[in-house]
Amino acid sequence: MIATRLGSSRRLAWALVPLMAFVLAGCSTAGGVAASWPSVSAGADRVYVAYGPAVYAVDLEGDEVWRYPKEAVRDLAFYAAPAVSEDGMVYAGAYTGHLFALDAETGDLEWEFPTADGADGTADGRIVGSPTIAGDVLLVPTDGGTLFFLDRLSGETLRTFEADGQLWSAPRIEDGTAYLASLAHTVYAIDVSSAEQVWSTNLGFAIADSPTLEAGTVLAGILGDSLVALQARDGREVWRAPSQGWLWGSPAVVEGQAIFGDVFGNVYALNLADGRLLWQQTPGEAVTSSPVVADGRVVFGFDSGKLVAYDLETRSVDWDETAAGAILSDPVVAGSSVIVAVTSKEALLQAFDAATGDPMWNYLPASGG
Amino acid sequence: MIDAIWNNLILNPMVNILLLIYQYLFHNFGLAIILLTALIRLITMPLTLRQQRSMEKMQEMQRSKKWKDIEKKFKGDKPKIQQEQMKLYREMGVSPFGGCLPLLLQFPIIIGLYQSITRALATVPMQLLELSKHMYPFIPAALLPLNNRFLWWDLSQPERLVSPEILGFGIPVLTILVVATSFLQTRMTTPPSADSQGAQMSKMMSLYMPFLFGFFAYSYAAGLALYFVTTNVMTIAQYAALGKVNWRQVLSLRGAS
Repeated sequence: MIATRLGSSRRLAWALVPLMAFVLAGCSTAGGVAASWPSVSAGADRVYVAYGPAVYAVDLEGDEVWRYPKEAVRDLAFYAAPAVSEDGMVYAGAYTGHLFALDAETGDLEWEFPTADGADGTADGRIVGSPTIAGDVLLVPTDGGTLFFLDRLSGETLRTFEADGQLWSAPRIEDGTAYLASLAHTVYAIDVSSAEQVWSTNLGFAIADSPTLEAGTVLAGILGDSLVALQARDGREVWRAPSQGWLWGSPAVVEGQAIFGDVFGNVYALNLADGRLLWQQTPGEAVTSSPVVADGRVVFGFDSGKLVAYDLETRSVDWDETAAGAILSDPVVAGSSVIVAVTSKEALLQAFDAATGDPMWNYLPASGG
Repeated sequence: MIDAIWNNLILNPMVNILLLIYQYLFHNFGLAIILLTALIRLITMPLTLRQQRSMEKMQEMQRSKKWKDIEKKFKGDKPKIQQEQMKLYREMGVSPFGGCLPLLLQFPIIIGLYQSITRALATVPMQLLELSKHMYPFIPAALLPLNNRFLWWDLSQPERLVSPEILGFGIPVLTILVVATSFLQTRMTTPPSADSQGAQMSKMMSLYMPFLFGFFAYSYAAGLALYFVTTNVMTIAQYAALGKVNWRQVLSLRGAS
């Protein structure tokens, strides 16, 4: 037996080569559709969550109203939170290079726009950031750096804007100007009616989330230990406040304070006017999303699954709860609840009472979608 | 636990070396892959040479008169043949594992290199978040995102040379290079076998492996295909430099047998 084993060493070596190839294949996700996190948006009486192969509409009691597509479609993957219009439309962008306009009531497809024009049909038009509604125009950022301006009713391309790098976040709109952050370190102001650039400012670091607009100021968290404030009219840097870790989310602005968290587990509140630190908490768990303001509280989701509400008056923890899994995307406020999308086998959405933090309901899609 | 050991000992150093090379090599990820692959080939060269020598010794032994005498003398008695062959291994100072142990030791390095390329490319938020957890503090965050263009390739995507006006479809140039270089490399590094079963296996491998790696190159990020081509070319160059290449055997389909 020993002799057989020893005598076959060369065969063993050869057998290990395909084994290694198998291991390599298991390690790689870069070329295929890679995993990401679920993202949720709030409408008037329901929320819309995009994750994996579908978009789900869920009412405020945690019951599924519809899903799109109804039957699973191979290779379809949604990463970005859908945009919800007041006139009853939901716009969902897929990583595989499609923008779907859905009827918010029924989930029926109204129109579809292919954002991909790469060699394999996906290269340039992958959608990671959410679309944004600006009146009758829909702005769709893509991984290839193109910002599409589409007619919201027909899906027709009105114009495009080419950024200098990947666009992973939704543009923010104010007074006919779109403020857009690129992963290639730049914040742009773009005129929505013409798609012409008004100004651009290089912040020196990648920007993963949308800028926050408040009182003529554009706030951008960078993957480089700072929150940067720019003047909205010309892009001039007003202040840059240090943080200990990267900022994946944008700040929530309330009562003249810009409140945000970093990946090293710090929560900061800065004076919006000059970037001065007003208060800081150290929950010690990474923040990869933007906080939301609900009823005198600012609520943070942490990648540990913790959900913490800070009282804006006392600047201390009002309540904290633990969700079923990591909270990697922005929580939303819907009705009297704070809803988070989680990466867990127990739930896709979880609702908590905004005032007390008490768990209200969980939603997990039945398989088949 | 295993994850932590793997990350701290293999993956994190490789990811950070790759980023460091990228930082100083014109922010060119293609060149960074080529240089890191070359460095690793150099570091593991003693292992490769040992494996090569061991395989040659084994081949030599299998072609020896003593080996053939054993087969003739104990024909039909497999256990006895194996017992005697074991004795011969010991007598001639050849380790039957000498060929595969160095190969085994290289596996973690090869897999780590492969993973570090996919991790550094970070094409979606989850991957970028993961990358941020593995970066050493002295690597400047301003490096990110990496410029993943090299020649006409997007190293984060499967590569195709597209000329819709001429052909209307993409030509997988890197895949073709991977298949060609894997074929040459496999033919060079597979010594001719003394027994017919071994020869058959060698022949199968020299056809099967290039297509297997070609499949990976076709399906996954071009950065990985670039790694395959670089490591294959380096192996070929190494063999050629050592004068170990029997071109007649390499270019003949029957040569391996």
